[in-house]
Amino acid sequence: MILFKNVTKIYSSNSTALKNINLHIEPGEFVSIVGQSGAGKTTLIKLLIAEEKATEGEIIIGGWNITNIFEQEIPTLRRQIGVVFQDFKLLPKKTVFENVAFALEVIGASSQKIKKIIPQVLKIVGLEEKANYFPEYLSGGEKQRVVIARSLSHRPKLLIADEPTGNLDSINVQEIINLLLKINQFKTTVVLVTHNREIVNTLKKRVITLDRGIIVGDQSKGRYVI
Amino acid sequence: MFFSIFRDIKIAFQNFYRNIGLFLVTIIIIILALFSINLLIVLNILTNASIDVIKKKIDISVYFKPETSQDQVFSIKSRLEVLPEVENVQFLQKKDALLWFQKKHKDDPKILEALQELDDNPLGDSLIIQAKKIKDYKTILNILDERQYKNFIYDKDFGDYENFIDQLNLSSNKAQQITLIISIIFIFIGILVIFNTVKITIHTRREEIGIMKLVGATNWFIKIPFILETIICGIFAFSFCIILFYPFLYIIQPLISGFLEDYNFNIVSYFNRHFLQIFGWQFVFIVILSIISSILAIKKYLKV
Ligand SMILES: Nc1ncnc2c1ncn2[C@@H]1O[C@H](COP(=O)(O)OP(=O)(O)O)[C@@H](O)[C@H]1O
Ligand SMILES: [Mg+2]
Repeated sequence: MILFKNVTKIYSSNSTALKNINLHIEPGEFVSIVGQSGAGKTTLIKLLIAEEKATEGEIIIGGWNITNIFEQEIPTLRRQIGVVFQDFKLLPKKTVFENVAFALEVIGASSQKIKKIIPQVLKIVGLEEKANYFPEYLSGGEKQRVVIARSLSHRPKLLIADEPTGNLDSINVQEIINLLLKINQFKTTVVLVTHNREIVNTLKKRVITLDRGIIVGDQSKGRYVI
Repeated sequence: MFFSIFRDIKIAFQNFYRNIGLFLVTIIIIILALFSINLLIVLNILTNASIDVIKKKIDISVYFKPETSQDQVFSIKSRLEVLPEVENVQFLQKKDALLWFQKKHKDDPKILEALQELDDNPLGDSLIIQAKKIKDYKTILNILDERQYKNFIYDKDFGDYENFIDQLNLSSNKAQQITLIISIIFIFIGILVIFNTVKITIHTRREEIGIMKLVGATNWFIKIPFILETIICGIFAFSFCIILFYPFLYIIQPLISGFLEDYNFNIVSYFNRHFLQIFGWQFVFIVILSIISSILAIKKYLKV
């Protein structure tokens, strides 16, 4: 699903975020990426969604070499990836329903299809009651569940979550993680960036550890080591 | 994309409604810009109207010899009326003609004295001719010199208008040039201010654009609602400007009537008659400006 070949990312001469990364993630895997702040986790995600370009090396996603992706192809790439960030990223002037609908409109779904899919995905995240709420009236956990619903709606093969629980309290954290696991059961590859030790240790899934831009650990049933 | 234009418009209206607080500044700015432009238009209309007033006061008075019969005068009147240069011909009876003559020469005591000395009214019936254009007066004067008319005419006067008319044309040209320059400056400032306001509005929504990009929206998919929203803003401001402008016209109408005295000029009905000419291009202009300014403003935030 994801293949990094000798990937280096240098922002500026004194800021090298990733050094010679080699990484292979299979379809359907659930991978946690851990590491201290500044280790390069977000940079890795940005390379995956083509928000940044690798300085060196090659990146292949689902057989598509995106190393030198054209500007116009980026939307096509992103429509196949669901992304969840720490800071929720919901459209403030759209309701829950409309936020999810937006992702479907982007891929050109008909309004009948949209009306059919959204109740389903909102049910998965347990928000069918709040379809007409605006984001400002939702709790942090609810917002993040809307984001997950949105990233699920177009059935991506890859879901990336960059510290999705960073702004949430522990009950909500568990809810979000359970959702990610549920999504993974539907054969979606999940890449979870976190520095929450507890989560990683209870997941018992593959853990990749980054430290100052280098992969220092890659265990198939890993624990948080640093 | 074009099939979803109705959906786009619906969403644009929804966004407009939900972001009304944000758009308020843009709307007010556009209203102010349009209002100033229309103010200049009023000024220009008034300049032209006052020049018209002066031009309307110009005429050729033809005083016939007393022995000329009314029928003859009328037949001359109808012959003059069909001339392409003539706007209208007014018939004055003997005694009205005398009054008219006195009024015309009220600043000329010598002539008035001379009239007084005569017991009888030396004038016959008279015609007052107005030409369509200033330059037509010369032609009409030449026609009146033809023998078929000349024999009946006691006197005709066309003052020394010519000099005056030249000056009038000169100053009306100048007035028009000045309003043109002021208009260009106003339009230019207006465009700049509108551009900047749209820029700021879109800047405050840059995060939304980022989120849209994140879920894989293409640039046009993001741009179209923003452009439509700006157009709605523009049209809203435009309509509001008209709604505000008419009461304003009603308020200044009495002032204008006072200023243009006996010349029957109504600014409100002028705007009604020229509604499309005046507001049509403003509409087109505002729509085009909305499109261009939103496209330019959004460009920056569409990268990555
Ligand atoms: N846009 C940027 N320009 C310059 N340096 C950056 C930029 N983004 C991140 N960095 C640097 O790259 C390193 C890795 O950052 P990041 O990938 O955000 O780490 P993490 O997500 O693991 O905290 C940090 O040293 C950070 O300062
Ligand atoms: Mg980070």
